[in-house]
Amino acid sequence: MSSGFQTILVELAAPLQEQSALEKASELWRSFPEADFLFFHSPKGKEVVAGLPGTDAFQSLEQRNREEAERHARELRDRFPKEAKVQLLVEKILDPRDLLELAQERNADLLVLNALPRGGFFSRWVQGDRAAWMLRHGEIPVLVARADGRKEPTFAGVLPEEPTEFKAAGQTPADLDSAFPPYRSREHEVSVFLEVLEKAGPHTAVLEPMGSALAEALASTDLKVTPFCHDSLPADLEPQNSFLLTFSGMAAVRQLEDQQALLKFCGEKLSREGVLIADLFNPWLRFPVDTVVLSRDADGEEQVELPDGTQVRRNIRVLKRDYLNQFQTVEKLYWVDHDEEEVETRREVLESRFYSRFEFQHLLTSHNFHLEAIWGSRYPGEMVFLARKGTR
Amino acid sequence: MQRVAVLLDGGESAEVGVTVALPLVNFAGSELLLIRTTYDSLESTVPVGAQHWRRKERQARHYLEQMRGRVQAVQGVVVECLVSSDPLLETLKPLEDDLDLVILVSSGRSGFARWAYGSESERLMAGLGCSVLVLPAED
Repeated sequence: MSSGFQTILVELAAPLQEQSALEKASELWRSFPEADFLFFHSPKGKEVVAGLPGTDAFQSLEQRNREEAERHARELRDRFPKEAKVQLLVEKILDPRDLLELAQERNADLLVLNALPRGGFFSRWVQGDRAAWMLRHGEIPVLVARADGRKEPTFAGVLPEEPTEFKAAGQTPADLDSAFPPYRSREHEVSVFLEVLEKAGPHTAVLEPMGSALAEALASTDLKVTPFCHDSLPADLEPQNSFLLTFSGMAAVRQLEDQQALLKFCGEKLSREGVLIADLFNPWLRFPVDTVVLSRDADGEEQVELPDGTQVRRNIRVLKRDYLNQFQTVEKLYWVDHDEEEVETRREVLESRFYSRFEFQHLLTSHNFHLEAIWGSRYPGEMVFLARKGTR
Repeated sequence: MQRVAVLLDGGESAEVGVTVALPLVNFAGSELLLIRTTYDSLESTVPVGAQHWRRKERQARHYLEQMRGRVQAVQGVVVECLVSSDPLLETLKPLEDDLDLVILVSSGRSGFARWAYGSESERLMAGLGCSVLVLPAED
Protein backbone atom coordinates (compact mmCIF):
# COMPACT_ATOMS: atom_id res chain seq x y z
CA MET A 1 0.00 0.00 0.00
CA SER A 2 1.37 3.39 -0.89
CA SER A 3 1.50 6.04 1.78
CA GLY A 4 -0.71 8.48 -0.09
CA PHE A 5 -4.34 8.44 -1.10
CA GLN A 6 -5.32 9.47 -4.61
CA THR A 7 -9.08 9.20 -4.63
CA ILE A 8 -10.95 9.82 -1.42
CA LEU A 9 -14.65 9.16 -1.19
CA VAL A 10 -16.25 11.32 1.50
CA GLU A 11 -19.74 10.96 2.93
CA LEU A 12 -21.71 14.16 3.42
CA ALA A 13 -24.08 14.05 6.33
CA ALA A 14 -27.66 15.23 6.33
CA PRO A 15 -28.33 18.88 7.13
CA LEU A 16 -27.83 19.79 10.79
CA GLN A 17 -25.73 16.75 11.51
CA GLU A 18 -22.12 17.16 12.37
CA GLN A 19 -20.09 16.99 9.19
CA SER A 20 -17.32 15.00 10.81
CA ALA A 21 -16.33 13.19 7.59
CA LEU A 22 -16.09 16.51 5.77
CA GLU A 23 -13.96 17.96 8.55
CA LYS A 24 -11.68 14.97 8.52
CA ALA A 25 -11.44 15.18 4.73
CA SER A 26 -10.34 18.78 5.06
CA GLU A 27 -7.47 17.62 7.30
CA LEU A 28 -6.61 14.90 4.80
CA TRP A 29 -6.46 17.49 2.06
CA ARG A 30 -3.65 19.27 3.91
CA SER A 31 -1.64 16.03 3.70
CA PHE A 32 -2.78 15.00 0.23
CA PRO A 33 -3.42 18.23 -1.72
CA GLU A 34 -3.27 16.43 -5.06
CA ALA A 35 -5.92 13.85 -4.18
CA ASP A 36 -9.32 13.80 -5.84
CA PHE A 37 -12.11 14.20 -3.33
CA LEU A 38 -15.46 12.69 -4.24
CA PHE A 39 -18.20 13.96 -1.97
CA PHE A 40 -21.20 11.72 -2.03
CA HIS A 41 -24.56 12.51 -0.56
CA SER A 42 -27.54 10.23 -0.55
CA PRO A 43 -30.99 11.75 -0.97
CA LYS A 44 -33.17 11.04 2.02
CA GLY A 45 -33.74 7.42 1.09
CA LYS A 46 -34.01 6.62 4.74
CA GLU A 47 -37.01 8.90 4.99
CA VAL A 48 -38.86 6.28 3.04
CA VAL A 49 -38.74 3.48 5.52
CA ALA A 50 -40.62 1.22 3.17
CA GLY A 51 -43.09 1.68 0.42
CA LEU A 52 -44.15 0.91 -3.06
CA PRO A 53 -42.38 2.99 -5.66
CA GLY A 54 -44.62 4.04 -8.49
CA THR A 55 -47.21 6.05 -6.64
CA ASP A 56 -47.23 9.74 -7.53
CA ALA A 57 -46.66 10.80 -3.96
CA PHE A 58 -43.65 8.53 -3.69
CA GLN A 59 -42.07 9.82 -6.90
CA SER A 60 -42.71 13.41 -6.01
CA LEU A 61 -41.04 12.89 -2.64
CA GLU A 62 -38.09 11.18 -4.31
CA GLN A 63 -37.63 14.08 -6.70
CA ARG A 64 -37.84 16.64 -3.93
CA ASN A 65 -35.34 14.74 -1.82
CA ARG A 66 -32.88 14.52 -4.70
CA GLU A 67 -33.06 18.25 -5.36
CA GLU A 68 -32.59 18.97 -1.70
CA ALA A 69 -29.58 16.63 -1.56
CA GLU A 70 -27.97 18.32 -4.57
CA ARG A 71 -28.43 21.75 -3.04
CA HIS A 72 -27.06 20.56 0.27
CA ALA A 73 -23.98 19.01 -1.39
CA ARG A 74 -23.24 22.28 -3.22
CA GLU A 75 -23.47 24.22 0.03
CA LEU A 76 -21.06 21.88 1.75
CA ARG A 77 -18.62 22.06 -1.14
CA ASP A 78 -18.32 25.78 -0.44
CA ARG A 79 -17.13 24.98 3.07
CA PHE A 80 -14.23 22.95 1.72
CA PRO A 81 -10.92 24.54 0.59
CA LYS A 82 -11.42 26.10 -2.84
CA GLU A 83 -8.12 24.75 -4.17
CA ALA A 84 -9.09 21.13 -3.56
CA LYS A 85 -10.18 18.93 -6.44
CA VAL A 86 -13.73 18.05 -5.54
CA GLN A 87 -16.47 16.27 -7.39
CA LEU A 88 -20.03 16.03 -6.06
CA LEU A 89 -22.01 12.83 -6.37
CA VAL A 90 -25.64 12.53 -5.39
CA GLU A 91 -26.32 8.82 -5.30
CA LYS A 92 -28.95 6.80 -3.56
CA ILE A 93 -27.07 4.70 -1.02
CA LEU A 94 -29.44 2.30 0.63
CA ASP A 95 -27.01 -0.24 2.06
CA PRO A 96 -23.27 -0.93 2.26
CA ARG A 97 -23.37 -2.81 -1.05
CA ASP A 98 -24.26 0.40 -2.87
CA LEU A 99 -21.45 2.14 -1.06
CA LEU A 100 -18.90 -0.49 -2.03
CA GLU A 101 -20.12 -0.43 -5.61
CA LEU A 102 -19.70 3.33 -5.72
CA ALA A 103 -16.21 3.13 -4.24
CA GLN A 104 -15.15 0.48 -6.75
CA GLU A 105 -16.72 2.29 -9.66
CA ARG A 106 -14.77 5.44 -8.79
CA ASN A 107 -11.53 3.61 -7.92
CA ALA A 108 -11.54 5.16 -4.49
CA ASP A 109 -8.64 4.20 -2.25
CA LEU A 110 -10.11 5.63 0.93
CA LEU A 111 -13.65 5.89 2.19
CA VAL A 112 -14.47 8.46 4.87
CA LEU A 113 -17.74 7.86 6.69
CA ASN A 114 -19.52 9.86 9.36
CA ALA A 115 -19.65 8.10 12.67
CA LEU A 116 -23.15 7.50 13.87
CA PRO A 117 -23.95 8.60 17.39
CA ARG A 118 -23.01 6.03 19.96
CA GLY A 119 -25.05 5.31 22.98
CA GLY A 120 -26.04 1.70 23.21
CA PHE A 121 -26.17 -1.66 21.62
CA PHE A 122 -28.39 -0.60 18.75
CA SER A 123 -26.23 2.28 17.58
CA ARG A 124 -23.14 0.13 17.86
CA TRP A 125 -24.84 -2.49 15.80
CA VAL A 126 -25.74 0.01 13.09
CA GLN A 127 -22.33 1.65 13.15
CA GLY A 128 -20.42 -1.61 13.23
CA ASP A 129 -22.59 -3.10 10.57
CA ARG A 130 -21.96 -0.44 7.96
CA ALA A 131 -18.23 0.10 8.29
CA ALA A 132 -17.48 -3.51 9.18
CA TRP A 133 -19.34 -4.75 6.16
CA MET A 134 -17.16 -2.56 4.00
CA LEU A 135 -14.05 -3.97 5.58
CA ARG A 136 -15.14 -7.55 5.19
CA HIS A 137 -16.32 -7.30 1.63
CA GLY A 138 -14.11 -4.66 0.11
CA GLU A 139 -10.44 -4.05 0.14
CA ILE A 140 -10.71 -0.37 0.71
CA PRO A 141 -9.51 1.46 3.83
CA VAL A 142 -12.36 2.91 5.86
CA LEU A 143 -12.08 5.97 8.05
CA VAL A 144 -14.92 6.39 10.52
CA ALA A 145 -14.82 10.09 11.38
CA ARG A 146 -15.97 11.50 14.67
CA ALA A 147 -16.29 15.17 15.35
CA ASP A 148 -13.78 16.84 17.58
CA GLY A 149 -15.05 17.48 21.02
CA ARG A 150 -16.57 14.01 21.11
CA LYS A 151 -19.78 15.30 22.53
CA GLU A 152 -22.23 12.46 22.53
CA PRO A 153 -25.95 13.14 22.56
CA THR A 154 -27.92 11.77 25.44
CA PHE A 155 -29.85 8.65 24.67
CA ALA A 156 -33.44 9.51 25.45
CA GLY A 157 -34.07 6.01 26.79
CA VAL A 158 -32.21 7.02 29.93
CA LEU A 159 -34.62 8.71 32.23
CA PRO A 160 -33.78 12.31 33.05
CA GLU A 161 -34.05 13.67 36.52
CA GLU A 162 -37.37 14.62 38.01
CA PRO A 163 -39.07 17.29 35.94
CA THR A 164 -38.67 20.79 37.19
CA GLU A 165 -41.76 22.58 38.39
CA PHE A 166 -42.64 25.66 36.43
CA LYS A 167 -44.78 28.56 37.35
CA ALA A 168 -47.35 27.80 34.70
CA ALA A 169 -47.45 24.04 35.22
CA GLY A 170 -50.92 22.63 34.89
CA GLN A 171 -51.76 24.22 31.57
CA THR A 172 -53.86 21.96 29.42
CA PRO A 173 -52.96 21.12 25.82
CA ALA A 174 -55.97 23.17 24.71
CA ASP A 175 -54.63 26.21 26.55
CA LEU A 176 -51.31 25.79 24.87
CA ASP A 177 -52.81 25.34 21.43
CA SER A 178 -54.83 28.49 21.74
CA ALA A 179 -51.92 30.39 23.25
CA PHE A 180 -49.45 29.36 20.61
CA PRO A 181 -50.78 29.20 17.10
CA PRO A 182 -48.40 27.97 14.42
CA TYR A 183 -45.23 27.14 16.25
CA ARG A 184 -44.19 24.16 14.23
CA SER A 185 -42.52 24.03 10.88
CA ARG A 186 -43.63 20.76 9.47
CA GLU A 187 -44.10 21.96 5.91
CA HIS A 188 -42.52 18.87 4.52
CA GLU A 189 -44.84 16.35 6.10
CA VAL A 190 -47.84 18.60 5.67
CA SER A 191 -47.22 19.01 1.97
CA VAL A 192 -47.00 15.27 1.52
CA PHE A 193 -50.26 14.79 3.40
CA LEU A 194 -51.99 17.48 1.39
CA GLU A 195 -50.86 16.09 -1.91
CA VAL A 196 -52.35 12.70 -1.11
CA LEU A 197 -55.52 14.09 0.44
CA GLU A 198 -56.25 16.45 -2.42
CA LYS A 199 -55.83 13.68 -4.93
CA ALA A 200 -58.18 11.40 -2.98
CA GLY A 201 -61.11 13.81 -3.14
CA PRO A 202 -62.75 16.69 -1.30
CA HIS A 203 -64.02 14.92 1.84
CA THR A 204 -61.42 14.39 4.52
CA ALA A 205 -62.00 13.35 8.11
CA VAL A 206 -59.26 14.11 10.59
CA LEU A 207 -58.72 12.43 13.91
CA GLU A 208 -58.26 15.24 16.41
CA PRO A 209 -56.36 17.05 17.72
CA MET A 210 -54.87 18.62 14.65
CA GLY A 211 -51.46 20.16 14.75
CA SER A 212 -51.76 23.86 14.13
CA ALA A 213 -49.55 23.83 11.03
CA LEU A 214 -51.67 21.07 9.57
CA ALA A 215 -54.92 22.80 10.50
CA GLU A 216 -53.75 25.95 8.80
CA ALA A 217 -52.65 24.09 5.69
CA LEU A 218 -55.97 22.26 5.49
CA ALA A 219 -57.88 25.53 5.83
CA SER A 220 -56.14 26.88 2.77
CA THR A 221 -57.38 24.04 0.55
CA ASP A 222 -60.75 23.22 -0.97
CA LEU A 223 -61.02 20.14 1.18
CA LYS A 224 -64.08 19.71 3.37
CA VAL A 225 -62.45 18.75 6.63
CA THR A 226 -64.40 17.00 9.38
CA PRO A 227 -62.65 16.55 12.72
CA PHE A 228 -63.63 13.63 14.91
CA CYS A 229 -62.51 11.95 18.15
CA HIS A 230 -61.54 8.32 18.54
CA ASP A 231 -63.77 7.96 21.61
CA SER A 232 -66.88 9.41 20.00
CA LEU A 233 -66.96 8.21 16.43
CA PRO A 234 -69.76 10.01 14.54
CA ALA A 235 -72.10 7.31 13.26
CA ASP A 236 -73.76 9.70 10.80
CA LEU A 237 -70.56 10.79 9.07
CA GLU A 238 -71.06 10.96 5.32
CA PRO A 239 -68.72 8.90 3.09
CA GLN A 240 -65.20 10.31 3.10
CA ASN A 241 -62.51 10.22 0.45
CA SER A 242 -59.77 10.10 3.03
CA PHE A 243 -59.03 9.77 6.70
CA LEU A 244 -56.10 11.45 8.34
CA LEU A 245 -55.13 9.95 11.69
CA THR A 246 -52.76 12.48 13.16
CA PHE A 247 -49.78 11.81 15.36
CA SER A 248 -51.27 13.12 18.57
CA GLY A 249 -54.65 11.63 17.69
CA MET A 250 -53.19 8.15 17.25
CA ALA A 251 -51.07 8.48 20.38
CA ALA A 252 -54.30 8.69 22.36
CA VAL A 253 -55.72 5.43 20.97
CA ARG A 254 -54.15 3.10 23.48
CA GLN A 255 -56.27 -0.04 23.62
CA LEU A 256 -56.43 -2.70 20.94
CA GLU A 257 -60.23 -2.59 20.99
CA ASP A 258 -60.14 1.15 20.30
CA GLN A 259 -57.68 0.71 17.49
CA GLN A 260 -59.86 -1.94 15.89
CA ALA A 261 -62.99 0.14 16.31
CA LEU A 262 -61.26 3.14 14.76
CA LEU A 263 -60.04 1.24 11.70
CA LYS A 264 -63.39 -0.48 11.27
CA PHE A 265 -65.07 2.93 11.38
CA CYS A 266 -62.64 4.37 8.82
CA GLY A 267 -63.20 1.38 6.54
CA GLU A 268 -66.98 1.74 6.75
CA LYS A 269 -66.97 5.47 6.15
CA LEU A 270 -64.39 5.53 3.40
CA SER A 271 -65.48 5.66 -0.20
CA ARG A 272 -64.29 2.97 -2.60
CA GLU A 273 -60.49 3.04 -2.79
CA GLY A 274 -60.33 5.89 -0.32
CA VAL A 275 -57.03 6.56 1.43
CA LEU A 276 -56.05 6.48 5.05
CA ILE A 277 -53.00 8.28 6.38
CA ALA A 278 -51.83 7.39 9.85
CA ASP A 279 -49.01 9.15 11.64
CA LEU A 280 -47.41 6.89 14.22
CA PHE A 281 -44.36 6.70 16.41
CA ASN A 282 -41.90 3.97 17.26
CA PRO A 283 -38.92 4.83 19.49
CA TRP A 284 -36.87 1.92 18.16
CA LEU A 285 -36.67 3.65 14.80
CA ARG A 286 -34.75 6.62 16.06
CA PHE A 287 -31.47 5.68 14.44
CA PRO A 288 -32.52 4.37 11.03
CA VAL A 289 -34.95 7.17 10.42
CA ASP A 290 -33.03 10.19 11.43
CA THR A 291 -30.03 10.58 13.66
CA VAL A 292 -30.31 14.36 13.55
CA VAL A 293 -32.90 14.32 16.24
CA LEU A 294 -30.59 12.76 18.77
CA SER A 295 -28.65 15.94 19.04
CA ARG A 296 -31.88 17.84 19.30
CA ASP A 297 -32.77 15.68 22.29
CA ALA A 298 -29.56 16.69 23.96
CA ASP A 299 -29.75 20.41 23.76
CA GLY A 300 -31.64 21.44 20.66
CA GLU A 301 -34.73 23.55 20.82
CA GLU A 302 -37.28 24.41 18.26
CA GLN A 303 -37.77 28.13 17.94
CA VAL A 304 -40.44 30.03 16.10
CA GLU A 305 -41.72 33.52 15.94
CA LEU A 306 -45.43 34.11 16.44
CA PRO A 307 -47.21 36.59 14.19
CA ASP A 308 -47.05 39.24 16.95
CA GLY A 309 -43.29 38.86 17.13
CA THR A 310 -43.21 36.79 20.33
CA GLN A 311 -40.44 34.23 20.34
CA VAL A 312 -41.39 30.73 21.46
CA ARG A 313 -38.89 27.98 22.08
CA ARG A 314 -39.93 24.41 22.61
CA ASN A 315 -38.11 21.35 23.81
CA ILE A 316 -39.30 17.84 24.40
CA ARG A 317 -38.03 15.15 26.68
CA VAL A 318 -39.11 11.65 27.51
CA LEU A 319 -39.92 11.24 31.18
CA LYS A 320 -40.88 7.59 31.14
CA ARG A 321 -40.93 4.91 28.53
CA ASP A 322 -42.70 1.60 28.97
CA TYR A 323 -41.56 -0.68 26.20
CA LEU A 324 -43.74 -3.60 27.25
CA ASN A 325 -46.99 -1.70 27.10
CA GLN A 326 -45.73 0.58 24.35
CA PHE A 327 -46.39 3.97 25.78
CA GLN A 328 -44.27 6.84 26.95
CA THR A 329 -44.70 9.97 28.97
CA VAL A 330 -43.44 13.05 27.22
CA GLU A 331 -42.85 16.45 28.66
CA LYS A 332 -43.07 19.46 26.40
CA LEU A 333 -41.51 22.65 27.63
CA TYR A 334 -42.29 26.03 26.13
CA TRP A 335 -40.41 29.24 26.80
CA VAL A 336 -42.13 32.39 25.68
CA ASP A 337 -39.95 35.48 25.45
CA HIS A 338 -42.41 38.32 26.08
CA ASP A 339 -39.59 40.81 26.21
CA GLU A 340 -35.97 40.80 27.22
CA GLU A 341 -36.86 40.78 30.89
CA GLU A 342 -39.68 38.27 31.14
CA VAL A 343 -39.56 34.68 29.96
CA GLU A 344 -42.66 32.66 30.64
CA THR A 345 -42.27 28.89 30.95
CA ARG A 346 -45.05 26.47 30.31
CA ARG A 347 -45.10 22.75 30.67
CA GLU A 348 -47.28 20.07 29.16
CA VAL A 349 -47.09 16.38 30.02
CA LEU A 350 -48.77 13.79 27.88
CA GLU A 351 -48.81 10.06 27.49
CA SER A 352 -48.59 8.60 24.05
CA ARG A 353 -48.97 5.13 22.63
CA PHE A 354 -46.39 3.86 20.20
CA TYR A 355 -46.63 1.22 17.54
CA SER A 356 -44.38 -1.18 15.73
CA ARG A 357 -44.37 -1.19 11.95
CA PHE A 358 -45.77 -4.70 11.50
CA GLU A 359 -48.25 -4.35 14.31
CA PHE A 360 -49.92 -1.51 12.49
CA GLN A 361 -49.56 -3.12 9.07
CA HIS A 362 -51.26 -6.20 10.49
CA LEU A 363 -54.08 -4.05 11.86
CA LEU A 364 -54.51 -2.38 8.48
CA THR A 365 -54.51 -5.65 6.56
CA SER A 366 -57.02 -7.26 8.90
CA HIS A 367 -59.34 -4.29 8.28
CA ASN A 368 -59.15 -4.55 4.50
CA PHE A 369 -56.55 -1.84 3.86
CA HIS A 370 -53.66 -2.24 1.45
CA LEU A 371 -50.48 -0.57 2.57
CA GLU A 372 -49.03 1.62 -0.17
CA ALA A 373 -46.14 3.35 1.53
CA ILE A 374 -44.54 4.18 4.83
CA TRP A 375 -42.61 7.38 5.33
CA GLY A 376 -40.37 8.45 8.11
CA SER A 377 -39.69 12.06 8.90
CA ARG A 378 -37.26 14.33 10.62
CA TYR A 379 -38.85 13.41 13.93
CA PRO A 380 -37.36 10.35 15.62
CA GLY A 381 -39.22 7.15 14.99
CA GLU A 382 -42.13 8.81 13.24
CA MET A 383 -43.81 6.61 10.64
CA VAL A 384 -46.46 7.81 8.26
CA PHE A 385 -48.55 5.01 6.78
CA LEU A 386 -50.43 5.47 3.54
CA ALA A 387 -53.04 2.75 3.03
CA ARG A 388 -55.89 2.34 0.56
CA LYS A 389 -59.23 0.71 1.21
CA GLY A 390 -59.46 -2.73 -0.42
CA THR A 391 -62.19 -3.70 -2.83
CA ARG A 392 -63.58 -6.73 -0.99
CA MET B 1 -3.64 16.32 12.37
CA GLN B 2 -2.12 16.89 15.78
CA ARG B 3 -1.98 13.44 17.27
CA VAL B 4 -2.26 10.17 15.40
CA ALA B 5 -1.96 6.73 16.99
CA VAL B 6 -0.90 3.64 15.09
CA LEU B 7 -1.57 0.20 16.51
CA LEU B 8 1.20 -2.32 15.94
CA ASP B 9 1.35 -6.01 16.68
CA GLY B 10 4.95 -6.72 15.82
CA GLY B 11 4.11 -8.01 12.35
CA GLU B 12 5.03 -6.40 9.06
CA SER B 13 1.48 -6.01 7.83
CA ALA B 14 0.56 -3.71 10.73
CA GLU B 15 3.50 -1.45 9.89
CA VAL B 16 1.60 -0.25 6.84
CA GLY B 17 -0.27 1.88 9.36
CA VAL B 18 2.91 3.84 10.08
CA THR B 19 3.47 4.45 6.37
CA VAL B 20 -0.05 5.81 6.05
CA ALA B 21 0.31 7.94 9.18
CA LEU B 22 3.52 9.72 8.19
CA PRO B 23 2.03 12.21 5.70
CA LEU B 24 -0.72 12.98 8.21
CA VAL B 25 1.67 14.08 10.94
CA ASN B 26 4.03 15.98 8.69
CA PHE B 27 3.24 19.29 10.38
CA ALA B 28 4.78 21.32 13.13
CA GLY B 29 3.46 20.24 16.49
CA SER B 30 2.13 16.92 15.22
CA GLU B 31 2.81 13.78 17.11
CA LEU B 32 2.80 10.09 16.31
CA LEU B 33 1.94 7.59 18.99
CA LEU B 34 2.99 3.98 18.45
CA ILE B 35 1.00 1.51 20.51
CA ARG B 36 1.49 -2.15 21.10
CA THR B 37 -0.42 -4.31 23.54
CA THR B 38 0.84 -7.57 24.96
CA TYR B 39 -2.70 -8.72 25.67
CA ASP B 40 -3.66 -11.97 24.00
CA SER B 41 -7.22 -13.21 24.24
CA LEU B 42 -6.12 -16.85 24.14
CA GLU B 43 -3.32 -16.48 26.69
CA SER B 44 -5.61 -14.58 29.01
CA THR B 45 -7.72 -17.74 29.45
CA VAL B 46 -4.86 -20.02 30.53
CA PRO B 47 -2.48 -19.63 33.48
CA VAL B 48 0.76 -18.11 32.28
CA GLY B 49 3.61 -17.12 34.59
CA ALA B 50 4.53 -13.53 35.32
CA GLN B 51 7.88 -14.12 33.68
CA HIS B 52 6.11 -14.73 30.39
CA TRP B 53 4.36 -11.37 30.54
CA ARG B 54 7.55 -9.57 31.47
CA ARG B 55 9.31 -11.09 28.50
CA LYS B 56 6.50 -10.11 26.19
CA GLU B 57 6.54 -6.57 27.51
CA ARG B 58 10.30 -6.30 27.01
CA GLN B 59 9.97 -7.55 23.45
CA ALA B 60 7.15 -5.13 22.73
CA ARG B 61 9.10 -2.20 24.11
CA HIS B 62 12.17 -3.16 22.14
CA TYR B 63 10.12 -3.45 18.97
CA LEU B 64 8.51 -0.05 19.43
CA GLU B 65 11.84 1.61 20.16
CA GLN B 66 13.22 0.18 16.92
CA MET B 67 10.20 1.44 15.06
CA ARG B 68 10.57 4.87 16.62
CA GLY B 69 14.18 4.98 15.40
CA ARG B 70 13.12 4.06 11.88
CA VAL B 71 10.39 6.68 11.77
CA GLN B 72 12.53 9.47 13.15
CA ALA B 73 15.25 8.66 10.65
CA VAL B 74 12.78 9.25 7.82
CA GLN B 75 10.86 12.15 9.24
CA GLY B 76 11.64 14.54 12.03
CA VAL B 77 8.39 13.93 13.79
CA VAL B 78 7.77 13.53 17.51
CA VAL B 79 7.18 9.86 18.21
CA GLU B 80 5.91 8.38 21.46
CA CYS B 81 5.63 4.73 22.36
CA LEU B 82 3.12 2.98 24.57
CA VAL B 83 3.16 -0.65 25.67
CA SER B 84 0.03 -1.90 27.36
CA SER B 85 -1.08 -5.22 28.80
CA ASP B 86 -4.77 -4.42 28.31
CA PRO B 87 -6.96 -5.15 25.28
CA LEU B 88 -6.82 -2.48 22.60
CA LEU B 89 -10.11 -0.80 23.39
CA GLU B 90 -9.29 -0.50 27.08
CA THR B 91 -5.85 0.82 26.18
CA LEU B 92 -7.17 3.49 23.86
CA LYS B 93 -10.28 4.54 25.75
CA PRO B 94 -8.47 6.89 28.20
CA LEU B 95 -6.63 8.49 25.28
CA GLU B 96 -9.54 9.01 22.91
CA ASP B 97 -10.07 12.68 23.72
CA ASP B 98 -6.50 13.52 22.80
CA LEU B 99 -6.32 11.57 19.57
CA ASP B 100 -7.30 12.89 16.15
CA LEU B 101 -7.03 9.52 14.50
CA VAL B 102 -6.31 5.90 15.34
CA ILE B 103 -4.91 3.79 12.52
CA LEU B 104 -4.85 0.03 12.50
CA VAL B 105 -4.66 -2.81 10.03
CA SER B 106 -7.54 -5.25 10.35
CA SER B 107 -6.55 -8.60 11.80
CA GLY B 108 -7.96 -10.45 8.83
CA ARG B 109 -9.63 -12.98 11.09
CA SER B 110 -12.37 -14.94 9.43
CA GLY B 111 -14.57 -17.95 10.09
CA PHE B 112 -14.15 -19.56 13.48
CA ALA B 113 -11.50 -17.12 14.71
CA ARG B 114 -13.80 -14.16 14.04
CA TRP B 115 -16.66 -15.94 15.75
CA ALA B 116 -14.52 -16.84 18.76
CA TYR B 117 -12.57 -13.63 19.25
CA GLY B 118 -14.57 -11.07 17.32
CA SER B 119 -13.03 -8.32 15.30
CA GLU B 120 -10.77 -5.88 17.07
CA SER B 121 -11.24 -3.25 14.39
CA GLU B 122 -15.03 -3.43 14.66
CA ARG B 123 -14.79 -3.09 18.41
CA LEU B 124 -12.66 0.00 18.07
CA MET B 125 -14.83 1.57 15.39
CA ALA B 126 -17.90 1.15 17.55
CA GLY B 127 -16.38 1.85 20.94
CA LEU B 128 -13.93 4.69 20.49
CA GLY B 129 -14.90 8.32 20.67
CA CYS B 130 -12.32 9.44 18.11
CA SER B 131 -11.87 8.83 14.40
CA VAL B 132 -10.61 5.41 13.37
CA LEU B 133 -8.97 4.42 10.09
CA VAL B 134 -8.95 0.70 9.38
CA LEU B 135 -6.71 -0.56 6.62
CA PRO B 136 -7.56 -3.94 5.16
CA ALA B 137 -5.04 -6.69 5.83
CA GLU B 138 -3.01 -7.50 2.78
CA ASP B 139 -2.90 -11.15 1.75
